[in-house]
Amino acid sequence: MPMLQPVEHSESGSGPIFLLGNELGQVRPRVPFDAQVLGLLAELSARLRKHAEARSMPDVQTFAFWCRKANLQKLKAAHDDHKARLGLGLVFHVAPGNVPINFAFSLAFGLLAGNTNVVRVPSRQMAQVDVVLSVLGDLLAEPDFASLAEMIALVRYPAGDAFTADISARANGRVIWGGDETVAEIRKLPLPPRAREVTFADRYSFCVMDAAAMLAADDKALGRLAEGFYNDTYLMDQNACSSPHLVVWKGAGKLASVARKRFWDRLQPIVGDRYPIPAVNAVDKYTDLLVEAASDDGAILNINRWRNDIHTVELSCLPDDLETLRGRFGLFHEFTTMALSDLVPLINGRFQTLTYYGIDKAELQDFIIGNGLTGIDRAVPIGQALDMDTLWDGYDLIHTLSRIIDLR
Amino acid sequence: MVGRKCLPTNPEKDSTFVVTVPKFQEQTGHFDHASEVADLLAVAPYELDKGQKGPVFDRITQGLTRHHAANCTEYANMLRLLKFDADEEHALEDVPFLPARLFKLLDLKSVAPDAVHRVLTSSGTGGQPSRISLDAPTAALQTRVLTRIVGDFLGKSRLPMLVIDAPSTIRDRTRFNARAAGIMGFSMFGRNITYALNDDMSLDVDGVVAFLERHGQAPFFMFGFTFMVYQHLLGAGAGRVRGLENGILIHGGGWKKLVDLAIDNEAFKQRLKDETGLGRVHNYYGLVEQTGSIFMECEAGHMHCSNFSDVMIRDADFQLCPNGERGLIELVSLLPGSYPGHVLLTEDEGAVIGEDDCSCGRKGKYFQVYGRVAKAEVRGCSDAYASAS
Repeated sequence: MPMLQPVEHSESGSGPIFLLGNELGQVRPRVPFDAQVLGLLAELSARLRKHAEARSMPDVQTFAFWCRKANLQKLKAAHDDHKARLGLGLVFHVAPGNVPINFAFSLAFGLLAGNTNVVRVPSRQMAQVDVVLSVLGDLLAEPDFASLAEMIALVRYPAGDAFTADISARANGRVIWGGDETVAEIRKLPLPPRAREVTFADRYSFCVMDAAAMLAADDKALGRLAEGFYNDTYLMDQNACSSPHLVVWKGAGKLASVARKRFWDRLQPIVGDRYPIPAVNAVDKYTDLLVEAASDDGAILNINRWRNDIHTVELSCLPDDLETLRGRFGLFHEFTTMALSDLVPLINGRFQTLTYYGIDKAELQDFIIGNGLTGIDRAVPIGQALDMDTLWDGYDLIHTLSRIIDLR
Repeated sequence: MVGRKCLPTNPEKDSTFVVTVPKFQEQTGHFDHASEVADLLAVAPYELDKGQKGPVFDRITQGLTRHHAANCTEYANMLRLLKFDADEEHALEDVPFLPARLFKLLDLKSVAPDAVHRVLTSSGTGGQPSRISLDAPTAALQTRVLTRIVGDFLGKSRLPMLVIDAPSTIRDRTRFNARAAGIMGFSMFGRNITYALNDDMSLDVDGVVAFLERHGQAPFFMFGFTFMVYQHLLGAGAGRVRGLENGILIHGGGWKKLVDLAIDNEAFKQRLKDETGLGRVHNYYGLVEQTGSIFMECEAGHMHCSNFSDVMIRDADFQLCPNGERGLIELVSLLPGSYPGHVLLTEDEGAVIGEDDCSCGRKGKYFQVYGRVAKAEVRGCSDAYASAS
């Protein structure tokens, strides 16, 4: 049975700081959706939803809402494949630097799959990490949950520390968030031969809206849609891997231009009210826009600006390297087409999330599966782009982080 | 405070401006950039008030916008897609401003490649350097305008010059950089050029003493980068250099390092006065993208627009800010003829203080520069490694 010892580091003097769980005991996997684990996460959810400071953090509340008791039960049922499973053992997680709450989701996925987890949290101090840490620390000190303490370690250390190599060499599983560069860096450090790895690379996401459905929507529905789109994009400065950079309007040109205007006009006051853009980001966004405009070879039909809140680039054709059409802080590309199948040759493995409005599921299924696309792992209604879950980037994280015991 | 009228040897001061005001070209279909600006060169650089400057300034900027639109495809594309018709009359504030950073990302020029006389580069803060393509007329204008502006502070004759830097800074071509370019550019206003630092960046006390013995009894010119001045006259050199009462220091190159050290312009000047006797200190501000039409700090501590430049302040929504309000600095220069850099948005923060009524006597807008606008924390999920390092 492997034992996890706290690792000593002397060379830099700034080795890993164990924020939680420095005395990890034996690594003893549990079954997925273990009752004690569910109890811990449900209680964490309840306390975060009552916690004064946590209540002011929308991302922490999103996490707390996700790991509420009822949802955990739902997940348990959804993941039950009638096979005997156990966690892999020790899973090492590298959380992303700029999405504070992701460390908590990653930890929860590892726990739900039945693992002992060492989670590297971003080296920068973040209030969201501190709050979850403090509530979780209190819970693990209570008799009901004390036996779970040895399944959780949260560490903080600067990049390049030898801890990553040491822990990787002993891990049964590794989960790397943070994109291509982080994945490439950490992949240099070997895992044991049997270990599994889940990597979250840079991805590209886009949005499809049906023009006729947009025009048919009543004002209330339109408002909800605009809010959903705002949450998918501006909440994360449009930098989340699941935030769309391109909006494809499905419909005839004239219809689409009316629908388009209706949508952006409705979105603008929401952005104006809730997204005070820092001057430096406004310059970034304007610079991106002008670089595209300057190099236009005739593909750009129009540039539309709703003050510094929304910029859109209307395209008459899409480039082969579609995923290079990116925007930050509310810069979107737009393209109008009668048929989604026009996009088929352009979709590759980089594509992650398709958010949609007014398109039915059968059509999406036909588009993604029927066409045998190598990309698009998620198609979700507008408003759910950022909703983290156990199915992510094409993985079933519960199944990937557990093993099947073939019992006959 | 040293009033402007006390400054020595500026023959421009006493010329009667009113009778020498040139006849600006009649508006015709043809725009001749060099000769339009040459007309302005006939006037003292800070003599035109709003009413006199406005029409000339608008005409030249409009001419430049049309010229660049006709000769730079990228610029024409940007104007077209921003729905700006250069052929119509526009207020200056409505002319699209290009982020100065664009010159790091695109090679923008309005002349044929074989007309490019020199390419200015500056690395700025990391990443790609800016590339500014100068043709001979633009390069010449830059020199003439810089001479006019600096002459207003130093006088027309060359003064003995003490450079607060080491000779190796310009000798070593591998280290050719903004500092070297600044020293070379300003050296045309000096004679008996003496470097105050040894090549190991230590203060050459003997050399400075010898310079002061020869030239210290009459006005002399000092030039250096702000941080070099801070470090070597106030820091390592503290108390070792005195007797600079007749010096006129022009310094620039940014406050970033000084802001890190928590010293502001006022404290900087006070310490120079207290510790070295140096009383005339002028900071300058400008972009490599608008070389020549620099902004000089006057005796009242304000940055000044000359006849060749203008400034506007914009908020994060790019709306114009009223005087006194802090925002992004937009700079206008009449000099860029070979590249579309006449209207640029910086990433510096500043505020316009007033126009035509500075206590120093100079006309034109005057303003304050606060330094680089704060970087924002950017959200997103793809850089755990980078941001953690």
